[in-house]
Amino acid sequence: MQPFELVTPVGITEAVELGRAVDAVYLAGGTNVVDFLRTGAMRASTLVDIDRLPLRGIDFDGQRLRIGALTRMSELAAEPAVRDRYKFIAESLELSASAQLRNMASIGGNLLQRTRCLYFRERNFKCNKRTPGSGCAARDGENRRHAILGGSEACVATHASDLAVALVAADAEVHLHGPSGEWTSLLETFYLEPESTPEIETRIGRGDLIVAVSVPPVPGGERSVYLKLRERASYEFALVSVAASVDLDGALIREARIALGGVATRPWRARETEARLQGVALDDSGVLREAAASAFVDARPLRDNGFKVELGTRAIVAAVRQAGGGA
Amino acid sequence: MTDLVGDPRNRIDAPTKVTGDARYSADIALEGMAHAVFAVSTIAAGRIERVDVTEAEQSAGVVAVFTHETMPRLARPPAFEFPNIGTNFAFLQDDRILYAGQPVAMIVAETCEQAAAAADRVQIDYAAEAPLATLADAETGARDLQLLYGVLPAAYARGDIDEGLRQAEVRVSERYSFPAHRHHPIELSSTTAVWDGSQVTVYETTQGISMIQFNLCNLLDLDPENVRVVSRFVGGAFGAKGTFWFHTAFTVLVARELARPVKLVITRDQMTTTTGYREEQRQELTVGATRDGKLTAIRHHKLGATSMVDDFTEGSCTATTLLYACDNLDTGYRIAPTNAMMPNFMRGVGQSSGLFALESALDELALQLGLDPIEIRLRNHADVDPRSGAPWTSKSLKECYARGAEMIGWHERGPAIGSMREDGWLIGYGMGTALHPVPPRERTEVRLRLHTSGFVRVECGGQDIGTGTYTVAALVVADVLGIPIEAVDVELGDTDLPRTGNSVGATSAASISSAAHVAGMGLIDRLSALAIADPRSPLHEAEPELLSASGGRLVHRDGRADPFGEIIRRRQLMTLDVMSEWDPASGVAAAARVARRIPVGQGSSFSYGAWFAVVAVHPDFGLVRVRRLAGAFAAGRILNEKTAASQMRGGAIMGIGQALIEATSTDRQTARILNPGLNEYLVPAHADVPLIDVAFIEELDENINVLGVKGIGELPVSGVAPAIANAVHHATGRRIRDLPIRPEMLL
Amino acid sequence: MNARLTVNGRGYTLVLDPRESLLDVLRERLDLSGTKKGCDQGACGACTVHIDGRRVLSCLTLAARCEGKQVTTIEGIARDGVLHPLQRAMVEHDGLQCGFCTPGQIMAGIALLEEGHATTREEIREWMSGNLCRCGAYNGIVEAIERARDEMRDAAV
Repeated sequence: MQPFELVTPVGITEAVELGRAVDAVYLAGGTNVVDFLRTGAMRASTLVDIDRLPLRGIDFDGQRLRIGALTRMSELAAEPAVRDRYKFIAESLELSASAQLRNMASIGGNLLQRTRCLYFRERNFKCNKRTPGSGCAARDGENRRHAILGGSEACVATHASDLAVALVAADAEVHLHGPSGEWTSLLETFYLEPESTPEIETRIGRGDLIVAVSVPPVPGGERSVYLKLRERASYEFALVSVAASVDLDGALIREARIALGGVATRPWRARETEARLQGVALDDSGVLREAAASAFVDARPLRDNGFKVELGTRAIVAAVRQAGGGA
Repeated sequence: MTDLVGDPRNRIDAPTKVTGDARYSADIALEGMAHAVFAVSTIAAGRIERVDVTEAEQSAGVVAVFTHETMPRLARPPAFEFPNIGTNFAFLQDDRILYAGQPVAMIVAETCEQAAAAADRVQIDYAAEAPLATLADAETGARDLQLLYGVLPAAYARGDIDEGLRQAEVRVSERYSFPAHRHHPIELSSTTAVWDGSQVTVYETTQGISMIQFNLCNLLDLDPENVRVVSRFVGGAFGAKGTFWFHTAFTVLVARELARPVKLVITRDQMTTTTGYREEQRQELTVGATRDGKLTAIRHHKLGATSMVDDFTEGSCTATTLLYACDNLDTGYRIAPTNAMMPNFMRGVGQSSGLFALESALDELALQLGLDPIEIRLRNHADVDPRSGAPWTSKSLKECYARGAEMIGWHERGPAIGSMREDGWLIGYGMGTALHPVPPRERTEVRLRLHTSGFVRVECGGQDIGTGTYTVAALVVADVLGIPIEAVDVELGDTDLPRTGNSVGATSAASISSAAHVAGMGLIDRLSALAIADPRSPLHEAEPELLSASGGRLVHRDGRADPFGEIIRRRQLMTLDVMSEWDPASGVAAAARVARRIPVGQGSSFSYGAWFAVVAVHPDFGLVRVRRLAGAFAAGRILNEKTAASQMRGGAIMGIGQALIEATSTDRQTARILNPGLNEYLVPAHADVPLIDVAFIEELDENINVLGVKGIGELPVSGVAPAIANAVHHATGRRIRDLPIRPEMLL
Repeated sequence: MNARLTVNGRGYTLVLDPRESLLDVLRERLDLSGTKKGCDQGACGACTVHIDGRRVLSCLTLAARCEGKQVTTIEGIARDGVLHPLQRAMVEHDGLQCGFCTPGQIMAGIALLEEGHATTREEIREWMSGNLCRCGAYNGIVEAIERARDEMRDAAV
């Protein structure tokens, strides 16, 4: 790693002051930052250690869940309120990474984690995200793990966070403190597609610090599902994943929430699918399949990842069934 | 032999490993030690035009930076000589770039963090050329391979292949492919070199300390008396540490140049391009048979990607030449130079890739003929070595099939494709044959030192790479001397100790156990002589043939006894040393007490096995999980059932990796490896591995060595991948011939 | 920068490079080489230690941030030469071959048992998947964990 200064602010205000400097990076759990500093995919001259700020803790008031940004993944996954009412959030966490990493990594850090695209991670490949304007080696290269949705000429890197997928399905909000004050964003729109500026991944501004994530009630949340498909049985990023919750009115779907991972440049809310599922019987396989397929209408397969359309469609169907209490 | 040998024994080195006390090669901190790291090339073909180390040299803590311009010269250029020297190309000696990830500088600093940061600051201007990345890019440049491993004739044929194909009433003709695989032992390769005058001690994690010593002397013009290599514990190897690599030589040279100890650690990413690998390969296989399933012809040709300057490919067709009785056979190899590092052997060398093709094809044949997969193999069982007609010194493959079938419940298998389900998953059963040659043994020396306390120390220069060598040496000596294993202490891994061979190709257990056995017998002879000549001994003037070792004593048939420790203490000796040299040739002759069926050197010796797999395939997602795995093996005498069973499981897990998970991914534009580290080159994790059931069919084979040990290290890797692929077919009707099996192939 | 670290109950005052990982400090500065470097990229688990009783990867932990925390390594597990039930069980069930991943497996396994994630074989496998073993001692490790769990439960009764 290149040398850096490690500074430890006492409060949030001081943290934001330090964090707004050029080449300053916030450090919470460090599992992403330390790794990418070593490979050279990220650079920083100052690491602002925010880990001792009072941003931990999980609050559930019966309606809304509020999660301090420094809460560890393992803590959030173990929280009874989360396991009971936002089951797919707990599942998305426990299917991520390894137990050790979940003990180290913060919620805020997880949401801001960088892509696993191999052309991003290894220096000296053409990568517009790492080095704007240098090109995208993945488009014409090995792209089996890359995005079929939300990509652009400049970048097709898949978003890596499982938790973000479940939170986006849950209409979560992210709360930030920054140089311009406090602000809140729907998590779904906090993430940006690469378009022509893949180095800009979220709406976060220089110095902005995520302080909390809040989640409204999720209909069907107690039975919601995070389906994660990967070749290794554990400890691998998703090939395709689906966060699904289904609220039933008898045998009919009253409301479905569906978000996708492993297929897009940001956690992908499948709103077209959700709309088509309204009022549909859970066992109506034909409609389920059509609704699922509609999520991929705008998919742009690359050389190696076209199978994700079919796999993704099947995964949505299976996740919806499971979330509805069916097999 | 007593019951001691064969029964499950705990690894004697286990306690030191579970406490973290065991010191591996990089677990060393010496006074004044500097840390070294490589900077590696980002291009795969071309030349270094200009290298600027100014910024690197000025970085904090940096002691020195060596490039191809400033690295001391090797005394002579390397010449490929398997398995010792892996390649004809030594990096850091000229401006050539032959592969991405090739070391182009060595940076030495006070801390490893400083060395790594400085490595990033070495500036290199390359004159890059278009590289050849994969087999697909390179195959037009393929040529025939003349020699396998530089010594064996590569092509082999018998009978008349065209006639054999004409006689065939059914035929399978397919292409099978393997991607490149990496060994990725969890311990990183490293060298720590410390000079003392003209003597150097080298702490190297290796499968062959003698090999390291020899090659250092040869390449650096050093005297063996001045070179000591130490490797007490090796954190896994699988072939990656079985060849001499140049990081060892350069660390030794740099330590001498800087006059301080230097520790170089290869990073995880760098392991991928500095310690060899199994090459990307394609096999064209045609098998023909009669309607009864009798093979009439096999044609097996392999194309392997090699480096630009080395003719290396693993012997994937060897198993085909001898596994089945088939009169008409044609095998051969072609190699295609690519801009990749020189491949080398990886556990299950040759057999695991070749048997994937052959055992898949046999299954396809069985299906066409409506025969049970085991049945078709039995019908083609080779009762003698089909290459020569020579008898097998021992072969229990049929018993392996039967036992394995019983273990997995083969009869529960409904033969119809896709006919079995469990929890909504499709279930499939498959099997595959495993085999490995019994390799030639190396001359091995062992020293035993008996103490007056009755404790015995065993010293031999070999190494334990996890196979259980420490334990094998201890229990053989304990058994011969009739003492408890707790009274035996083993020292390995130091060239100052008596010379032993490398831990490659499954040779260690047999060599060391044979030598230990002979040494033990030698110690008994010495003790007998001492006791018989000593008027104060109860055994004074006894007949030596009536004496045996039992319970730490020399015992006469009539009950008189003299404890070992007493025998030597009476002679005013605190210790008694016996040095024993075991020569493979004489070792066999030493077993001449037992009548031999086959004259020395006239039989063929192989170890065999059969793997049986039950897989579950998700009907919607194409995910494959191994539900159960069972294997039966016949490998002569099994010295320690506990550690041997672990070996088999470990090999099986590599087979699971081959079938379902592992593949090196290379960017075709740049010929750079995209997944050099363990985050991206996936190997089987806990969740991928079911309970693996293992059984041994014991064989008494007095023709191979005095204990009849065949060696098992490589055997279990073969047969697993075809068992899984065959099981996938049974579950889904999809025949996958390109590994690893991916979900999209089964959608 | 100055930092005071507590490792296996002992205090150490060190001058640290902020980049230094806890792993490198343990191995290179404190001669506690039982914790192993397998990848330095958070992928293999061989560097697993406990910080304040929780299993974490020391290769991705900056040492300077460990002030005020209790670090436990494999060297701190056996008490007065008495092995932890999991260490004993690993020997008995051959949960190791080369032994290199073993300290990490044991640190992860002890934490797993304390977390209560060893109720079934499937759970053990899933929750141990962050510790790779290339020798393939997985079956023995799982058996050892089960054995230790049962022993510790019986002892607690």
